[in-house]
Amino acid sequence: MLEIKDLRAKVDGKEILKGLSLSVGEGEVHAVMGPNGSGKSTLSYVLAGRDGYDVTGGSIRFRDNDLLAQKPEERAASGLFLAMQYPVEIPGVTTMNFLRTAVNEQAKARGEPQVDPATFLKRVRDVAKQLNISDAMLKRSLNVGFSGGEKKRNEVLQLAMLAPKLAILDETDSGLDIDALKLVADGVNSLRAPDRSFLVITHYQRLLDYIVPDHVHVLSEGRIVRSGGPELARELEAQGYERIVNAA
Amino acid sequence: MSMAAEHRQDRSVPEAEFAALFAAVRNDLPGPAWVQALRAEALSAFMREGLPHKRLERWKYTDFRSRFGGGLGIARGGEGDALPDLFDGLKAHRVLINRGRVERAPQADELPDGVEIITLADALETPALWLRPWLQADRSALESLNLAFMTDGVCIRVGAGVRVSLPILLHHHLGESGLMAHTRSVVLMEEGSELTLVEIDAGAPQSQSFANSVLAVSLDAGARLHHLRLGAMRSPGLAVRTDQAEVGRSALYERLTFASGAALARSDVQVVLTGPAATFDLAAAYMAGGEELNDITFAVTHQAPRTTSRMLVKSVAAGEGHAVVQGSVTVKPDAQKADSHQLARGVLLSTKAEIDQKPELEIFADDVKCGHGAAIGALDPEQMFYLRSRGIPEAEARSLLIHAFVSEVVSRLGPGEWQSRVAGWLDERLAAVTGDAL
Ligand SMILES: Nc1ncnc2c1ncn2[C@@H]1O[C@H](COP(=O)(O)OP(=O)(O)OP(=O)(O)O)[C@@H](O)[C@H]1O
Ligand SMILES: [Mg+2]
Repeated sequence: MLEIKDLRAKVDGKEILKGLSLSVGEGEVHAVMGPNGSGKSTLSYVLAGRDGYDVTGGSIRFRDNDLLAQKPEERAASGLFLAMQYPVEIPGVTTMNFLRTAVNEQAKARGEPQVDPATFLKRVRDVAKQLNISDAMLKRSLNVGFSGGEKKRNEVLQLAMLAPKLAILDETDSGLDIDALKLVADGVNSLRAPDRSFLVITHYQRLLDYIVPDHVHVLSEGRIVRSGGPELARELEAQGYERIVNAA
Repeated sequence: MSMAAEHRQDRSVPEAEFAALFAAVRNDLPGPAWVQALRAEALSAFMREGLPHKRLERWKYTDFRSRFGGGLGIARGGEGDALPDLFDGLKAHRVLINRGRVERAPQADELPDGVEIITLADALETPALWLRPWLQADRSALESLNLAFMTDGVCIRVGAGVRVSLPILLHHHLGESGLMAHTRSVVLMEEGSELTLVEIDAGAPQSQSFANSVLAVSLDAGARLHHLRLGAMRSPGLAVRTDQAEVGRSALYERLTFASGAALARSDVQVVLTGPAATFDLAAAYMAGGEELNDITFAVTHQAPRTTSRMLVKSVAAGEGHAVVQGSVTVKPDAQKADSHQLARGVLLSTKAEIDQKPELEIFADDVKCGHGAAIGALDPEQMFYLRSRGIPEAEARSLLIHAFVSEVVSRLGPGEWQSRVAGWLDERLAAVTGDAL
C-alpha cells in the first residue's frame, strides 16, 4: 500500500525528516506517536503533497505509483486522504458543496460516473448523523465558526464520503470530548476494511483503545526510532517519550 | 518647436476633435434654445478640463485619456435589430436604449397608474422646467461631455405611494464600432414609492466604442429603490457611468452592481443622504481579466442625522487586469448619529494584475459611527491545498475560491429567475477571468 524509504524533507531550509522509513500493508492500522515537533505533521503534509515541503531524498510508493511525482489532487484521486491537524476554514464554500465537488472530481479523475445527487445527499446525511453533525452545519461555510471538535468530526465526515485507500489521521482525537472521541473512533472502525489502511497520528493511548493498531511507531527528530505492537503505545503512556527515545 | 510645445499640442488633439464634432452635429441634437445653450456651456467646461487623466485625484488610477483612441462619431440611433438581453423572456417594463436612442419603451397604458416613462429627447422638447435641475454636470469632464452631446435616455417618475411590482429594465446597448453614445436618464420617486430598477450596459463592438451615460436619482421621503446594475460591455468597448442620487428622509437606495468585460469600465457614483434616517446600501463585485480596467469610484455625503451607508466592494483581477475602488465618505456637521461602513476587498490572480483601493473618510460631526477596511491579497495557499488534498484540481479549486470570494455580494441577489440569470452571467465572466489567471 505505502512504502516510504529513507525520506528526507526540508521546511524553510531546515531538515525536518531525516531518513524516515515506514511500510504500511493493505488493511493495516499503524499508529505514529512522538514528541511535539518531531515531524509527524510534516510527514503527513509531505504525503499529501503540500507546497513548501522540499523532499531532498528517499522515495514514497503508494499503490504502485511514485507518490512524489503526483499533484495533491492526483494523490487524493488515487486514494490518499489526510485528516488535518488544523482543518482550514473556507468562507463562502458550504460543506455540502465542497463534499459534492470533491466526490465528483475524484470520480471524474478515476473515470467513474458522477454520483447521483439524491443518493449523495442521503449518504452525506446518514454519515453526518452518525457523527452527530447537524444539517445546519452542512449548509454552513466549510469549517467557519466550527468548534475545534466540530472541525475534527467534519474531517471524519469527509473521510467517510471519500472512502480512501489510505487515511492519515493527524491528531484527529485532539480537541474531541469523550463522547465525540467515541463517535469518531466508531466512524473510523466502521471504515476498516481489508483494502483500506490507516496511519493514525496521536499523542494519546485513549484513541488507540478504540482504534486498535496493528503496529505502533515512535517518531523522533525526523526518524522512526522504534516500532512495535499495541503494547508499545501503553509503554509510552506509562514511561513518556524520553526514556524510549534515548534507549533507541 | 520645443519639446514642451509639441507635447502640449499632441495632448490637445482629442479635445479639439470634440469641438469640431460638436460644431458638426449640434443642430441635429434634441432640445430648444435653452438646451442648446446648456450644451454649448457644457462643451466649454469640457474643453477647459479635457479628458480625465491620471494627474487628477479622482482619476489617479484610471487614465481614461490614454485609453481613449478618439476618432469616434456620435451614435444617434438608426435601424436596429431586436436585441435580446440577458433577461429575455422575463416580465418587466422594458426600455431599450440602442445606439444612444430609445428604441423601445412601454406605452403609458402598459404602465401601472402613477408610473410615467418618457424619453429624454421628448422631455427636452417640453417647455416644463422640471427637468432643468437634472441637466447638470459637476462631477467630471465626461459628465460635461455627456451634457453637450446627450441624445436620449428616459425620465421615469413613480408617483407617491406607488409600488411598482414588475421591475423596470433599462437595457443600454452599443454594439457598433467607432461610436459614442451619450445618454442621460432620470429616476424620480415620490414619497413612499417603491421600484426595482434593473440596468444592463451591453455591447460587443469590434473596435473601440464609448458608452457615456449619466443617471440622476431622486428619492423622496420613505421611497425605496432597489437598483441592480450589470456592466456587461465587452472589450474593446469603453463604458463610463456617472450616477448621482439624493436620498430623502427614511428613504432607501439599495444598489447591487456587477461589472466585467469592458476595456475600461468606470462607475462614478455620488450619493447624498439629504433626509434624516436615509440609507444607502451598495454591494458590488468587479472582475477584470485580460487588459481590462474596472473602476468604481463613489462618494457618499451624510447631510442629515441618523443616516446610514454601507458599501461592500469585491474585486478580482487576473491576467493584466486592473481593478480600482475609490470610496469617500463625508459626514457633515448636521449628520449626528450617522453610521457608515465601507469595506473593499480584492483578490489578485496573477503577478501582472493590479488592484488599487482607496477608502477615505471625512467627519465633521462628533457623534458618529464610521469605519472602513480594505484588503488585497492572492488566493490563500492553505485553502488551495485543502481543496486540492480532497481531489479538487487546481483550476476548479481556484474557481471555487473565487466564487466564494464574491459570494457575499452574489448572495444579495436572493433567489429567483432574475437572480439566476445574473448568476449565470457571473459564472461565465468568472470562468473567463479565471482562465486568464493561468
Ligand atoms: N513552515 C515551517 N517553517 C519552519 N519550521 C517549520 C514549519 N513547519 C514546521 N516546522 C518545524 O518542523 C518541526 C516539525 O513540525 P511538525 O508540525 O511536523 O511536528 P509534529 O510532530 O506534528 O508536532 P505536534 O505534535 O506538535 O503536532 C517543528 O520543529 C516545526 O517548528
Ligand atoms: Mg502535528
